[in-house]
Amino acid sequence: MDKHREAFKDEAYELLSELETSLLELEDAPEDIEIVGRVFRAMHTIKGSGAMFGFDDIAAFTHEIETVFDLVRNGEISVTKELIDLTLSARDHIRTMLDASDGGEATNEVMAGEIMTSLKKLIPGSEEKKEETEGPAAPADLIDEDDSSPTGLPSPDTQGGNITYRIRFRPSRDIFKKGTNPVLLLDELRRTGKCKVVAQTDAIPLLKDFDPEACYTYWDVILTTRQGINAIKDIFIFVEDDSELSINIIDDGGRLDNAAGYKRLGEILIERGDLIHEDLQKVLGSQKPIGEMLVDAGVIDTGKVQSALIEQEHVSDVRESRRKAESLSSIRVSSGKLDSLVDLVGELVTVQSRLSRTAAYQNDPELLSIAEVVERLTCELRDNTMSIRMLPIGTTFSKFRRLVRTLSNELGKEVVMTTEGAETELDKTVIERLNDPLVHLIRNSIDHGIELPGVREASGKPGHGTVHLSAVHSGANVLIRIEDDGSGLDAKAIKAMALERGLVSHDLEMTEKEVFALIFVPGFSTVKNVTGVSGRGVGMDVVKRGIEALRGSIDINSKKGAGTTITLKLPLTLAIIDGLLVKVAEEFFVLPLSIVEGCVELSREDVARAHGRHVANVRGEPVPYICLKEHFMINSGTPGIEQIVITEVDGSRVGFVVDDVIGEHQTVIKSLGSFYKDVEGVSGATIMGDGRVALILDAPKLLQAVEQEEAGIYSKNAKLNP
Amino acid sequence: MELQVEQSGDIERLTFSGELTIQHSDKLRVSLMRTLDNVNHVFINLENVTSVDLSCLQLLCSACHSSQKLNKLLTITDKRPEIFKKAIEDAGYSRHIVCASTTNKSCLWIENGN
Repeated sequence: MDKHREAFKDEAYELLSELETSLLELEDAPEDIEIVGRVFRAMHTIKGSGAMFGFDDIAAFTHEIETVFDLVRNGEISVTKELIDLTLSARDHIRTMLDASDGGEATNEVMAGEIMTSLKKLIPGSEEKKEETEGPAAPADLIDEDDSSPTGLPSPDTQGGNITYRIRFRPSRDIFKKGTNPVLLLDELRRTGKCKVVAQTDAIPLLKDFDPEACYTYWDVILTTRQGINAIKDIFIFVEDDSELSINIIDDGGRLDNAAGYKRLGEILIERGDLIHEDLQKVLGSQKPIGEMLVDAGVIDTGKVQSALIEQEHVSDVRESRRKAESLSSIRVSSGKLDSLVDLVGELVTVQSRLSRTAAYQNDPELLSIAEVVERLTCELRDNTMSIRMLPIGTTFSKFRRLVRTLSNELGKEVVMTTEGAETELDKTVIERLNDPLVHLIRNSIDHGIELPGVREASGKPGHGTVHLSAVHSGANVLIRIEDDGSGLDAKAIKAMALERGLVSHDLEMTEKEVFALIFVPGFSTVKNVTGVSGRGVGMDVVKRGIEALRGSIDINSKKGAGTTITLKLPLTLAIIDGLLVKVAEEFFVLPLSIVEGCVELSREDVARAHGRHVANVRGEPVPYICLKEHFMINSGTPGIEQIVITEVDGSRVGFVVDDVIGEHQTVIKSLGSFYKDVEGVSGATIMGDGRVALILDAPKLLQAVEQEEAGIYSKNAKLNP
Repeated sequence: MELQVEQSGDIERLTFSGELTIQHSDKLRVSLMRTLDNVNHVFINLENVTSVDLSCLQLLCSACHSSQKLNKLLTITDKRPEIFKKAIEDAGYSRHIVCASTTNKSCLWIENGN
């Protein structure tokens, strides 16, 4: 049972997240009935499952909100800001109730009561509404209880899922004379979904009494469709006045399922009114199939039995298909298990690398063949495992709508959040760890970037500001941009503050980008008034550290008065990368293959021709290079011909000089541990097939370190002495 | 609708061609009643019909019931045209079980069941 309760809670948290997104969308599109339906369904599911797994308090609380949204669906209540505010608060309360069931913070019952009272006031005719408009309510014992449906079944018209209906259509005898062909109505029903039609012929008289122009046939139809009951009734709209039409839901897309499968034949016939219970009992003593017994006993017509059998088969099929579809489409796996799987795949990749190396060393054809197959399978397993961990970033984006809404209200600003590329996928861990940095950046954009409506209008901008979040793939990275059309960064003010704090010297020439980069210095803030939202200068350095911990980088572009764009560059995955293994003396290094453009030789003559400058001529173009041996102070002789690995770093070509290029390497990334956390230019390590360790180079950081060294401010502490 | 009648002893074969629709259903009814009065076994050949509607399906069903009542046999020949099969399917007349009133376990609406 505990497992089921946990599953319910997981589902409920997801539904609450969806509910929040839907509510914020509904605020922008209050007339959109599809969104209202989504809100309703989320609450309906939380209520239903909550009651099933013993969360009675959650079920009862959610029921009240569901009731309000049922009225919204029926057009009896309009969507207002007040309704959205209250429902968001109710959503938060449900979340607290879920947390409290785990021993989290206790729920605030007073607040819950206030939410309920306020919600009920929105219901036309409710005692709370009357009390609001007419004064005190009648005594509690005179107030009617909420009489909404205990099952809370949604109207199929807005349901969206497949519903199975049992329809009996008995047209008037003179339907032919009116020029209507009932078979065409059946055809129209067939077009709405999966349909089985059984004609009932028991009313057809003998030839002597037969009127050729009369319709004696009537029909039982079992229909599975997404259409609502009204759409089905519409098919019969021109004949309904003189026909008998009954439509019943016999399967509502999952909620009515029971463990024992669908009803028995006798139950269906009794439910339809085609058989009485006594007749059923009379024939049940025999060993024959029930349908045959009933027909033999003459208590029912064949058509009725056939129709009931078809209903039984049809609904069982629908349920079986649904069960298969549900079991095939997805399964819920804990993220812990997924992390273990990735770790194991990482170990497997390392062992596979060792196997390939041993096979190559022994040069045994059979072993080589096995090693090749293992390599191929490991590669496929690695890609599949990595793809399981990929999630669309849209889920994170949608969370920020609430943040933007809350901050805008708090600061008296009007801010619209737009998104792009929500479907862009990133590793689960990257997405999880991206949340806090993005919260900081959005807070900063709204608090410091976007101006108050009056200020914006005075400078010719629209009163409402925009924060645009976008995500796009760029090679092995994803670029996430946070753009605002606010006041932009004031480079002069930032530099002045940096001078005041002694962070830079007066005579230092700085580009605009370098000035902007100062906002990442711990404790740096140009804001004079600290607000509850930001301004304490504790955000941006944390953001930078967070992004760098993800092996990402952060870039700022800003124009005073026009707005700021912050670009986060993040790797697709943190676990395994394709690398290029290189060797310097006896040390091995890995460069991410995604940045490698190619390799060229560097001879002693080439070095001499450059007159000591670290620049090589690569196909007629000068390319600066970094000599890894020099940089990491590795003492060894230099071979006559070295190799330059040409890479693209931040849009520029940079070479890395090594002794040997070994080749491609499946690189399982291992962190270096806290002792090496301050080592710049190295993002991690990997274990090679022979058990030795290779350092994974962080090319942009290496380049930055060398540039700083050349500028004379590079700290020698950062160097690694092997 | 065209009707050709062939009699051989106690068996009569009715061959219909053209449209078997409501416009012709009275003529069809009269033919069937007459034949059931005359013989004990009626064969209906629908191989050449070009169209069949619900009124005629009802009529054939009625003829089947009537034949059972008279303890006679009414069957449709095996060569059923597609148009007839489709009319049965569209009108929901297909059956897997014979009628309760059937004494000889035959039914017009079960393929090969007559």
